[in-house]
Amino acid sequence: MSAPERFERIGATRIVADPGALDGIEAPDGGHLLRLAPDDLLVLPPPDRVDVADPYALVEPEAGFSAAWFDRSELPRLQALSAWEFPRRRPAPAQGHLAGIPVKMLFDVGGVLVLVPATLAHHLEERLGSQDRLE
Amino acid sequence: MIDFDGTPVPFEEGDTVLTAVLRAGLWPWSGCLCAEGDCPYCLVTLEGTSYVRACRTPASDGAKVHSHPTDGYPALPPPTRTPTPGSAVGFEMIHCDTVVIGQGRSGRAAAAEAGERGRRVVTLDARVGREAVGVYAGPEVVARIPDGMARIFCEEVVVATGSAEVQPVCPGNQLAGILTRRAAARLAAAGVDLGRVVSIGAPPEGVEHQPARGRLARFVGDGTVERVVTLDEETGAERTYPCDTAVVGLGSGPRDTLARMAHGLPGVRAVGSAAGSLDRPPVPEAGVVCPCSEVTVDDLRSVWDRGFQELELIKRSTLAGTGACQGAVCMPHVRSFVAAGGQELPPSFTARPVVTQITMGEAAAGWYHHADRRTALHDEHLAMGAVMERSRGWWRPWTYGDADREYWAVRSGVSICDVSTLGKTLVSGPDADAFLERIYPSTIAPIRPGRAKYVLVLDERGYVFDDGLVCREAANRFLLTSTSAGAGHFEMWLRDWADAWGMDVRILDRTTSWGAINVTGPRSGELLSRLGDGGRLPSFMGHTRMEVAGFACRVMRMSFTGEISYELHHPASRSEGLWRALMESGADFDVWPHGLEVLEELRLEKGHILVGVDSLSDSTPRRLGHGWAVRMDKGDFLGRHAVARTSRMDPDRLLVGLEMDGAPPPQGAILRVKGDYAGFVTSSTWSRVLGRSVMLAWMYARDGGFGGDILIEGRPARRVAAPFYDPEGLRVRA
Amino acid sequence: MNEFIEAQVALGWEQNLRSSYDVVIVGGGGHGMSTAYHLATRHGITDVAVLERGYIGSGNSGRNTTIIRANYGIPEAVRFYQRSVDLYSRLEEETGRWIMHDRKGLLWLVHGTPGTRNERARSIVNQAFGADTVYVTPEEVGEICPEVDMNAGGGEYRVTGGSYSPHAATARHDRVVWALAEGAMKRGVHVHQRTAVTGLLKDGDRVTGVMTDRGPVTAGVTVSAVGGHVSTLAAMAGVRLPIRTHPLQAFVTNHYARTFRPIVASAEMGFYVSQTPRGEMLLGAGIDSQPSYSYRSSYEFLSHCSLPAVTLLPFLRDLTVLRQWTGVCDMSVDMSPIMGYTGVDGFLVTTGWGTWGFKGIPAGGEQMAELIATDRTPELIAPFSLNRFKEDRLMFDPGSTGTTH
Repeated sequence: MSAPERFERIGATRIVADPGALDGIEAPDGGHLLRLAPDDLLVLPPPDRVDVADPYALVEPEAGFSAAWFDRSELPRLQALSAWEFPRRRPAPAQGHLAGIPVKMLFDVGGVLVLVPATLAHHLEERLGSQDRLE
Repeated sequence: MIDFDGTPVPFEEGDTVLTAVLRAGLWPWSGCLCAEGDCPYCLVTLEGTSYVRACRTPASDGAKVHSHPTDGYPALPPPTRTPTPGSAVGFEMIHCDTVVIGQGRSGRAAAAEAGERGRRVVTLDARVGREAVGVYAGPEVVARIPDGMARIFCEEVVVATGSAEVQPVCPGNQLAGILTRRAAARLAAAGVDLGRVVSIGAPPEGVEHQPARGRLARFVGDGTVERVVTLDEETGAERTYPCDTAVVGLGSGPRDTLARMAHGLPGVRAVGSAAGSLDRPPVPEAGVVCPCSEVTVDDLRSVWDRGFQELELIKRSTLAGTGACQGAVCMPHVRSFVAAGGQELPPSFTARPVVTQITMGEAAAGWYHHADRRTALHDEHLAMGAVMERSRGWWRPWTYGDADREYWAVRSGVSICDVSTLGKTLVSGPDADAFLERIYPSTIAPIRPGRAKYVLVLDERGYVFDDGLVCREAANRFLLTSTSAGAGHFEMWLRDWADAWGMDVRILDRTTSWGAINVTGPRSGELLSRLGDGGRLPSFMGHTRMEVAGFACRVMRMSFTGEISYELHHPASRSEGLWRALMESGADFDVWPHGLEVLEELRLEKGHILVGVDSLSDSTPRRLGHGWAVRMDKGDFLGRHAVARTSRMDPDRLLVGLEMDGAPPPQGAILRVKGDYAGFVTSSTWSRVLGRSVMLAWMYARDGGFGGDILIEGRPARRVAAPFYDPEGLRVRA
Repeated sequence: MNEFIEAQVALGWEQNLRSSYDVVIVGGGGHGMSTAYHLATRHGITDVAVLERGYIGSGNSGRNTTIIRANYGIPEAVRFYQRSVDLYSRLEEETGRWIMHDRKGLLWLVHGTPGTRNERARSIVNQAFGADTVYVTPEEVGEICPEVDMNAGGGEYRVTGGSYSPHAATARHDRVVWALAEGAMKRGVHVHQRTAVTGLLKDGDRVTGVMTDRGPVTAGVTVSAVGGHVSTLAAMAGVRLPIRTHPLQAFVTNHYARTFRPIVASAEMGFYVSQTPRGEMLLGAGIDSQPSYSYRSSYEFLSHCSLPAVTLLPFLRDLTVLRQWTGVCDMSVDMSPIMGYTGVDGFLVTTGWGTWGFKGIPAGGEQMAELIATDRTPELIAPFSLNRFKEDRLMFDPGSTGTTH
């Protein structure tokens, strides 16, 4: 097994707004939308501009996450560290704990993007890296 | 070869340690061996781990096996070994639809049936090294598999563990050379020479034997069985059968520990023999009933006669059933014993995990220590030689090695401090003003855009559980700060109340997204002007947005240290750049960071409380001396009712400021007035700038008041109003 | 021969449930039995019935981790539990029964400067109110318990000191209940097993006895010494208790030669361990966060309790787990017990015993008995009255909320 990718702090835009106003937002080209809650949306990578039909929307640069991409072939290894079963459809978002650390995951055909609070990224790196013996 | 107590023992492919040792002509175990993992007789110590069953351990080359002590218990391992915990044990979580435990006839049928239904099936069978450890709510099955430990999450569990054979209870049942009939058949088939075999009850299959007639009376021998004695029930005559091996076929009962453990759990069912009924053994008359706890039939009679007349009371008073086999041997007999006392056959004891004994190292596999958080400046602190401490779920710099330098950088020059752990929350929405008026006991309306206010956070009981600042950015838009300790809960607290009150607000926690660096000291303004974008720095309790060293910041001027302070809130991805820019640009001011140790001195000199250190869980604002932070002349707010009620009571304790000459007493030091207990110190420090010790302390009312001369550790202390340092606050406003 | 087979106690059961007693105690656990025992031995009050739904000691009295200690964080609690420590140390002599009382000492470890300050504070308040807790340096920790890895977790949990309470002890939980039951029964107290209380008898606002599944029983005083469903029983009397019930789990390993001496705890790492008189290593941790009456054990508990244990005491790694189990804890909002009057005539409670019930058995029963006999609240338990919640005199105790029970 190769060493896991290092988690890197990523840029994103975080929007907390009226749920109806978030429904209309589209993903940037080649980017992703991750709906964290009905009133909470993460846009990756940060778009140049966002129009939100809510005058009270909080639109903020998000610097709190680190992320790493895992190839499809590594999914079994990640699944073995999760007490919940990964979704089977693609694309699919998910959030829960991975190796005891809270994560947000974006599953795509080729693999999965794992987002972790940057304050805990070093723990996740260490925990994913210590699993060689299972391979 | 296996090394068994120093003797080399050869083995064949597929052998267990039990088979190999017996085939070699050794018989180091006493009691009736079952060879199926039910009885506690074939225990060994394998590579330092005791209580391993030889019948469940595959023989492997070079394995070091020691016999279980016959007198007393195995020694604890020596304390000097310090392996890395969990490192040697594999772990995985498995997701499937159906788990079938046991792969006998009914287990194979259940697995096949589930497979035909399209279920994803995982099978376990102790005989192939896939042992179920327990069935838990979920359902979840924990197993030891060849790769390590596995937690298996599923929708249904089929327990097909079969039956366990009933053990003989009679005098001599602890001799060596006794086997159950299934054990005899298995061992004989594996080539173990059993010598002259006498069988009692149902005969063993495929084993040449002499059947003994009559009921089993006792085994006789010196260490090893030499004769079986039976009783002719009709004539009362005894018969004696000389033998090398005695084989008993007394029937069986369900091997239902797992099924009973899961009793009441949806999705778990037992099939086949595991769901069957017990061949109730005769009422035991003499001999050892529970080999693990060495309980005899006489012991059962003794406690019964003294009033212990329930299965559970018998278990607890004799400890029968609480040893390594968890009652597998004794339970059928003890149940028969209780039933003979005139009661119905009682149900078995409650079954508890674990059914396969794993080591604590195995149990720890797949688990992690609490994940303490790091700020974006963690590596920066380490590079500067910081000593880190765990504080409220974060790693924080305690000191950079020279407290004196850190302290005076703040008081007379300029210093920086990583305060990224502060709670930071944005709130906006049509109801944002009304919402915060209800959350906080202070008035929010008078706060103008660009200004901030210190606030307490009260719970419904009127107790202070956090404090912070409310910064208004615009009409109906705020930035709230809270303490590092409270940050984790604050967003939830706000969202819960917004929900409960039906308020139209947006709430966004920025704690981990934003870093925060506090630039503090009389020269902090100079440093920031040098790095700023030309915009005006805010005045005391003001805030603005500006670029510092090219980084977009929210700059808040407030003070915890007692000196002019600017908190720079910025995207956490920029923390290192900003930190380095401040250090480089401030080099000619001798800028130097300070850690938590010095920060606690600084804030204490200013009399600032630390919620959770100086406050107790039932600290009202009045008790904390913060009555000024509560406005009863505004509308409803959280805790208002309780504050109104408790403020009508006589004050019973107060957080007070104290000072004394000489060294500071430790946290927890006791205040005495006229010899009586009068409270205790919550925080204390030697004040470098004042040249005396200052502290905060809880003081209890005596005779309705707080008067009298205070002694701490026999030394006089004086009550003084905090702040101790710069009481007029001239320095922070300068 | 197993020396741990109970060979002394003789329980004289009374078959006849009378229709009236001076005192009816609901709950045949440690506190109910101790109250009855002290009524009989200290005050000559023997017209007493203890009603137990299951068998005696079947609730939390038979499920706790048997630690006796007084190293609490507030004066009122230190005084109360030290009284219990003293009574425990005399109980064998007083009853003539072996309860396996063993003064082991308790080492409470910390892993950083803030924790070190807290343990120093604990030792100060302990010594001021009669408990012998002392602050210890890492070197002293190593002398008291050489098994501790001072650089635990590769330094992440390095031991920076702690407090040591020589007075701390363990005793066999069942035997405490039996010794007290026998002593009470010998003096005429009736103990009725398999007798469930289904309601309270009332005359206006006054409680006049209990309804059981064997018929009504009137009583001059009805005492709830119930664990678990105490809120339900109190509600029948119209008393609201500020209590939530949480599961608490524990496990034991197999038996090993008895060479591990002290009780060792780390609240920061989240576990505690001692070796039982029979040689099992007995481990516990904090309460489950979710309130529940469930007795079901979880594998998470086994994992999260084992990991810190094998990290701080590496020799535990190869020990085999024998059995895990679960009890329930009645947690009051201030993590302290509630003893005495309820505001309803004829109805008293001893409850809120959280994770500290076993420690409080002798003193709790002694003080409740005195209250019943004299109709006055003894000074030692006055701070623990139910009234405190109305009067805003809560007993929050930093020393009770740790991990060691």
